[in-house]
Amino acid sequence: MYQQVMQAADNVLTFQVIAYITFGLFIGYIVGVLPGMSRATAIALLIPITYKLPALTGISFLIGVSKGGNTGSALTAILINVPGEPQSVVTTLDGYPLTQQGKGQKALKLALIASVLGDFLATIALIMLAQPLAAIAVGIGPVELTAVLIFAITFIAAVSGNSFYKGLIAGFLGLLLAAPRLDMETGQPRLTFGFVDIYDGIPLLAVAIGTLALSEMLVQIDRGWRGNYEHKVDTLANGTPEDQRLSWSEFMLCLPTILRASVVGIGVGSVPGLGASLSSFLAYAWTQNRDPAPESFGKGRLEGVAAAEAADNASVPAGLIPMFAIGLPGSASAALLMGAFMLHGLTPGPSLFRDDAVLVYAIFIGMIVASFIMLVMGMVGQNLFARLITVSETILVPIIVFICVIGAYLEGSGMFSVYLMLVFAFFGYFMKKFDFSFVTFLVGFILGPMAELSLRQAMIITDAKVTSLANHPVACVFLALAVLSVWRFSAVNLLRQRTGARAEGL
Amino acid sequence: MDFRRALQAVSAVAIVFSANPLAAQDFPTKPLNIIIGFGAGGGTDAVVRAVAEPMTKSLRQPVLVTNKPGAGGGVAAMSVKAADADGYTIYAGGSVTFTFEPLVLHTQYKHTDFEHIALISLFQDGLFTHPSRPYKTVKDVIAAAKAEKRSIKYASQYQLDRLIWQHVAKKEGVEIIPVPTQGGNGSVQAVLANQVDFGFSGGTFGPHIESGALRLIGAQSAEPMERFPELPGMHANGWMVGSENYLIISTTKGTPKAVVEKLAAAFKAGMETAMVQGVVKSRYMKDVFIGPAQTMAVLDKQLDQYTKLIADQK
Repeated sequence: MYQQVMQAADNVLTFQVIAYITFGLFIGYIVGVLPGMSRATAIALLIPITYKLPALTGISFLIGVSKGGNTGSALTAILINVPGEPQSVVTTLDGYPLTQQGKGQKALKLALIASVLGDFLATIALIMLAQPLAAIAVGIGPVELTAVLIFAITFIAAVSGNSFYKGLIAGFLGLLLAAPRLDMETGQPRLTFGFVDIYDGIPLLAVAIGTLALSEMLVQIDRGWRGNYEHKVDTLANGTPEDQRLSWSEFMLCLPTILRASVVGIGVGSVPGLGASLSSFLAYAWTQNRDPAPESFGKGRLEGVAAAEAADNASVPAGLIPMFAIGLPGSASAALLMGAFMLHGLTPGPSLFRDDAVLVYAIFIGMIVASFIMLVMGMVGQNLFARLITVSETILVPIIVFICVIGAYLEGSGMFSVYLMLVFAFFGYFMKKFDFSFVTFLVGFILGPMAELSLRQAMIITDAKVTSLANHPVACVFLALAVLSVWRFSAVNLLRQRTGARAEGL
Repeated sequence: MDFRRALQAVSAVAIVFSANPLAAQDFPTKPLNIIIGFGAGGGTDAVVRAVAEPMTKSLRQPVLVTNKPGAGGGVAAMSVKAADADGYTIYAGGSVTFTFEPLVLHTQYKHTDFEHIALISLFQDGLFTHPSRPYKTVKDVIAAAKAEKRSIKYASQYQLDRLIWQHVAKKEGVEIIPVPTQGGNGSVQAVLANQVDFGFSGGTFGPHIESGALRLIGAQSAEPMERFPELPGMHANGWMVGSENYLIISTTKGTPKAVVEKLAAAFKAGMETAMVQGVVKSRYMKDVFIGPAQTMAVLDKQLDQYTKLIADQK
């Protein structure tokens, strides 16, 4: 094995491979920054480029695109509240408030370090633990997935938001929005009102960009309209130098969060069908739950950014775990990478380790190299993009609105998505004004269809009998955890609210 | 003066009349746009993106590929239907988008609303089960369910497969319950977790068959799969149904015949390149090519077959 690893290192550490990895990371980074251009789309578009390349170069290039995309998407999420990718929705929750406090640079630095660390740790997990993790993933069928999702949704809902009822209302609104689509079982349109464009569900980014980013622009325009608008001369300079730097103590404070979130990202990412969005929501909720001051989340907590970014990025290499180990891709981009492997005549799975171990090791080494290049690239990129927020609002707001429109348009359905986004901008505006939870809303909307599908699968598989859960011990554990989280957090929350109200009354 | 005006009129008429043949001869003079009816990463996507490359060379114009998933290919089909009838906007997807979807969804298109360029390969769905189950063929699954007096559950993906298995259920006198899953990967996952009796997919099962994590028990198409001729197709089991789905290339109705012919030739040449052949093989698809002259007949036959299948259920 030692000899194989040395040979693999020899293959990777050439000018061509390193150059292509860097190139891939660069493209991915740009794609990540642009909302609407998803990582998966970018990989699909770039696969033809790799036809003529050697397998190692081509695949490392595509993995680079995948990694770069996730890191880049944090930029717009933090600076202008526009999630570049669906999973960076969670990054906006605390990232944008930090920018508003003049700590944008600090948030960006932390996001980069958290991303790279999460990515690096997951890559190590992929190398060391691919087989055992995949063995667990194989045992996870629809019944277990349902239990995991029920646990995740209740856990997230239980800890987020100041008002339990407003959180619940927002969550159900999200679920309601997830309902229009072709029914998964009958194939018939459901609540679509004749719009063919929503046969596959309401476009995700149109809703996310509308409610998060464009509504924020409405708030700013509104503020200007009312006359109490004051141009912050220079947001970057506005914060003290301490606000721009990430101090060692702050990093150490966030390190446990990063490690925890990476574990969540690895766990969730390696189960096919769960996806990056869930991992960042879950990591965020966990971090918030452990914090002594959970109500300060969503108002600019560094830990919130760290949790979202580490989990999100860890899930990228984690999605490759079941692909390398058993040939089942863990995410949409992993599925595309698997297609690229097959184009080069390689079949991911146990046979690949047996027949082409040197190539597998070489790809792993390339992934580690990519983590380091990403760190450098991210630093340079941040300095460049961070200047964006020093621009006056009169110029910046129209640019952001433009970016929002492009993002919704690119997602696929053309102008339909754009109109939809405009509608949701007003929706988000009122949510902001009335202080409804965005977290539960988006969790309902993003995870709703996933939960619905696996719940319906599980109902059929178990014949809708509670007793047949006895055959699914893993599912039972997660259901118990769900009950526990509802009992513990929401009961505590309600109690706190009551006592809080009483205290106010006094 | 009059003479000049007359000359102008004549030349204008000449230009109008010569426009079509000239356009066909020079076609294409600008980039082509292939719209795939499904998401990136699937079988259709892989083959079409692969074939776009040799076509870019042979047509000397960029061939752009975009994905417009939705409504089983219907969203992409609608945008091709509405495009200019010049052959620059091309649909790529499954033939069931034209032969099955209009029967079960209220689609705003029919298969006759398009000029069909070619059928460039055939998707072949394999049926597979978990290796811990003793079944060697689908017949074994049915026999086991009958003996154990239980229903059969399988990982379903579309409405078409549900109709097919309802037909089988009726014929064999067993209950076959579809468990909805998403795409080949969802189906493979449900079977790997051993929670359904069997599942089906296009090429997704490939690596798992090789590693022994899944066992093939037949084909969901009428005929056996090209790569596994020893496993019975649906007809061999005595069920006169099957999921027949070609990768179809179509364009807007009214596109000049010469343009359609030229595009068909470009696709044919592209499909014959070694790289595209490799993609087709890796996806467990069958390599066939049916040109513009016969495509409509194939679609009509499919439509007829599915109409009957739906009528049978009622």
